[in-house]
Amino acid sequence: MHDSRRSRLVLGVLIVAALVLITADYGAGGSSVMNGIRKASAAVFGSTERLASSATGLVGGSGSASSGQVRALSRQVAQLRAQLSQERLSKADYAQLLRLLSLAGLGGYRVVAANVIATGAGYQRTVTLDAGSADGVQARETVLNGDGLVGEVTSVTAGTCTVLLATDSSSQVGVQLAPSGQIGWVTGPGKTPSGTGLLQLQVLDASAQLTPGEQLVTSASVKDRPYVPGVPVGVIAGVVNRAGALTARATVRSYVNFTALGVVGIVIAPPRHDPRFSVLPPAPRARPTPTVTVTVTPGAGGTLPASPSTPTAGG
Amino acid sequence: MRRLILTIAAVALALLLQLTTINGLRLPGGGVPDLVLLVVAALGLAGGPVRGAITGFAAGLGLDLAPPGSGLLGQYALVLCLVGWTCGRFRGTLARSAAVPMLIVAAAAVAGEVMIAALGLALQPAQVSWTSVRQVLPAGAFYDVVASPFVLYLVLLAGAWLGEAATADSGARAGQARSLAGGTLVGPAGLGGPAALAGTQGVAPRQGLAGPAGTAGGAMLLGLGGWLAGPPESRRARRAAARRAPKLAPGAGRPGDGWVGGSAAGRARGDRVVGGPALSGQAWRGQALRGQAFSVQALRNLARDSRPHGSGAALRAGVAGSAADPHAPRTLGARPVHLRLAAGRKGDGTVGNLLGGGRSVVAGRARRRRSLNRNSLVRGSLVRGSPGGGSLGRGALGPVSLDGGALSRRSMDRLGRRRPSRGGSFRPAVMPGGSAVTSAITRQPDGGHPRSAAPVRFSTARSGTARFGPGRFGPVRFVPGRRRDGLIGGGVLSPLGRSGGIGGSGGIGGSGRRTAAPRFRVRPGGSAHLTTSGLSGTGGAGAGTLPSLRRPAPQRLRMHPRRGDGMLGGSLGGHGRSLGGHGGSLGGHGRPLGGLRTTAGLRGGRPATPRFRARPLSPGRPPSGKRPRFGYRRWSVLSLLPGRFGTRSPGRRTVGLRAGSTGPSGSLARRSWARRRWAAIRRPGGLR
Repeated sequence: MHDSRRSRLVLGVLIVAALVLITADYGAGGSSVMNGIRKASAAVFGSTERLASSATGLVGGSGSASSGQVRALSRQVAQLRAQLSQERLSKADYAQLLRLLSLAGLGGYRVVAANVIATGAGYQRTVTLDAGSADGVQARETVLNGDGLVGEVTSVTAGTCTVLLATDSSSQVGVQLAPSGQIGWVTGPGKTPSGTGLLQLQVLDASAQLTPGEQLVTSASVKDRPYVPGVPVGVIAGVVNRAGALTARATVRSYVNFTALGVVGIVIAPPRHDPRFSVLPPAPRARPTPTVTVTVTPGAGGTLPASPSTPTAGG
Repeated sequence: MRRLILTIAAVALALLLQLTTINGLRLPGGGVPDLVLLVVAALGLAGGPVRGAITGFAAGLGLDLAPPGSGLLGQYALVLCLVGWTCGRFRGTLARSAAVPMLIVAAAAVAGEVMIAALGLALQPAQVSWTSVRQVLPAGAFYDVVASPFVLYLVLLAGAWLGEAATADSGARAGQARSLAGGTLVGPAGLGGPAALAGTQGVAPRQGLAGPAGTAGGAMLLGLGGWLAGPPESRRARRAAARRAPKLAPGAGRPGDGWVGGSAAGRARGDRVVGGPALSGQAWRGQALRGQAFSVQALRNLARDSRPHGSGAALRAGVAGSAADPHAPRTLGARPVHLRLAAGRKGDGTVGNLLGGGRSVVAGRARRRRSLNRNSLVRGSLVRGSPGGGSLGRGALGPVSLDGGALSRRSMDRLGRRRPSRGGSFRPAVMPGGSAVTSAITRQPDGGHPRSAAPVRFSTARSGTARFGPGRFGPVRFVPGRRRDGLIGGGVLSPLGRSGGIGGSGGIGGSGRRTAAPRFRVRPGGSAHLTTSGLSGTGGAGAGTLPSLRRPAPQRLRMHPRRGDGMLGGSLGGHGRSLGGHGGSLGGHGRPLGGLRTTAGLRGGRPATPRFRARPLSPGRPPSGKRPRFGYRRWSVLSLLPGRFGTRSPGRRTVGLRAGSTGPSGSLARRSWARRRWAAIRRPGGLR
């Protein structure tokens, strides 16, 4: 054990410093000092992350070669491979962007497209985007992608912004149920083993009848901050029966795959008119589920001849 | 500086990778490895507690501040700081084992994950829910454990690579050190009879005592353990060596490192190769041990007269212990040496010994010298009293019989009865081998009455006191001593600038019944040539070496590698003057002293600044009933396992070695010896 007074002193000082920071941050909430520190550091880190994430896309193989020609060729191969993967990436990005724009156009949102460049550590569900106040992004704005609601911008620097995902357990999104117009809110599950957990829906009307398959869109927040109306959130996956509860509860499967976020859009101007449910993807139609009934008739001689019977369609 | 760059680069890389890539991974179970945590743990392990704590704090702050971080500021800083510090405390394991550091890093990672989750639960209940912690934490911890060896390896590798790139020839140096240790100095012609240190890897010595040249391994740099170099010997052998050998973890080279165990003159003759014969005990005894100053001229003669020899010990300026360095630095720095006694503890033993200048003249202490000389105890190995209250010079003479033949018991007894005129008393102690005598002049801290039973204490010499030799030594500082504090025994030796000479006396002598238990830290600077002789209490009294003292407690020396550490020299057989000191440590009844590790932490011509701390083992419970606390706690996860892994019991390891009683592989004999000794101690009357 290498222990000495000096090391303990250093440890003590650092621990005290950390505790002071925690306390200051905890007590201040959103005080200007802490925000200033965060902003300054985020500006530095954000630009680095931007570079790093653009570099991580270019992963190519390279072999060791002995002769010059082989080396040149293998370098070429590596370059081409990198190009190819870049192409693929941009193809995927393009598809995502296309869907994003079509959704935004459908709802009448003005969006700024951005890429996810960093993912938060720990148990928070946050990501960093490569668009910031220079692009017109402000805090408390809605973030969506081609599938639906992603989250909310919590802090902005010049070139980056941080998004609290809708799956974070501290995120609460006001929603409206698609056909019925019931009002409720959705909270995230936090970090889950699967990455994308089911959101929790609570509907204000305790007597509301929730059925799986119902779709959810965001309902307008005050002055459209942080959530603009009409963004698809998800579909009800299951209803939680809780007799006597004040609110009706259900679990919601999000439209967005939060583990594969790529191109997202930040809504910098809300739609002129509430798009209501127009942005929603076509509701899944109930498909008939075939049921097979087997009737067993006890036969003579102790044998049980099974006779397949008629399948009946239900649903 | 290089280390700093490495640390910053590693942390920054880990941060970026973690945030941009790893956190976005989707792995089964939902968790992801926390690369930053692992890097901090590995850096802490490689850098020590202070560096670990600072690194952890900085990295954690980075995690807190980097953009997606929405937790409370300081949360990660707190956790990672603790992790880094804790890992740093286990730094010594890096040099000792391969598995234990990995286990430590893995355990630290798991603990860090748990702490992060707990802090989140406590401080941010809205964001961190118990269910998500319960579901995700095991997966994250699992990935951490899986990734930890690789991260550790990479960090160490990067450290080694940087260090290697810096010194370039460190491997060669280490090899030279080994070859010297394994080859030339062995045998009667060398120092101290058939004793030499095994290679730098801490390997069990083979072929008797000498680790053959080039046993294995590479340079140990930046606190890098020997495990990177691969297993040089069987595990059992390594373990045996680990038990037996003084533990000198490698020091990390710093800018400004110099030579330990070197000397200016030797360096001046850097290109001369001195063959083995020149190092023969005869010459050695004749010139150095007899206390005649090893003048520059003598050294030059020595170098000149020698011819290149087959397995020649090259008396060049060199890495500590290497005695052969092709790239000899020109100058020595002039920084002072700081010797500090590590904080003593209750139950520490006394050491009667010599912090030795090798000069035959003790300035201003004619009386003392006379009396010593009369008893033919010390010739030329006195410590010069310091101007500043130097309890060293006055109080702590460790006269050593320098005549290889040693004193007879009778003369020893005579010595024991004799009281020096002032300020101390001799207490003879017999070595088990009976060949050597030690005595310690004890002295009250306040300079008061002699007290024969009092241990030597250096508590008065707090600041910059003792001055060794003519001018080249800086102040020796002791931290305030405490009850039964030990002396620094023999460990520090001065080649003494121009006058040469031997320093370190052999071993650490116990006085009275108390066994020696010094814990000291040498923090030399500049021109110091430290040789640590008398490690592990062997202090051999072999032919031509310094006699050992009363069987001292085996001592573990550990280096605290720090920036600017130099080499622990000497023990591998230095060159030039410092060879004298090695007599003490190398010799000793054919007892192996394997496994000294030196580092080639030197970079071109800068002065050495090794710092190490010796932590001796206790041979048993001292008669006072207080359990000495200097026991070396060797705890290993493996020891918890049954079967062949469980051969080592956790807890205090008391290795008592009777000098000369065991061979290289005599762990059984050692154990039974320890048992016997234990019984002897517990008998009324104690150990005689």
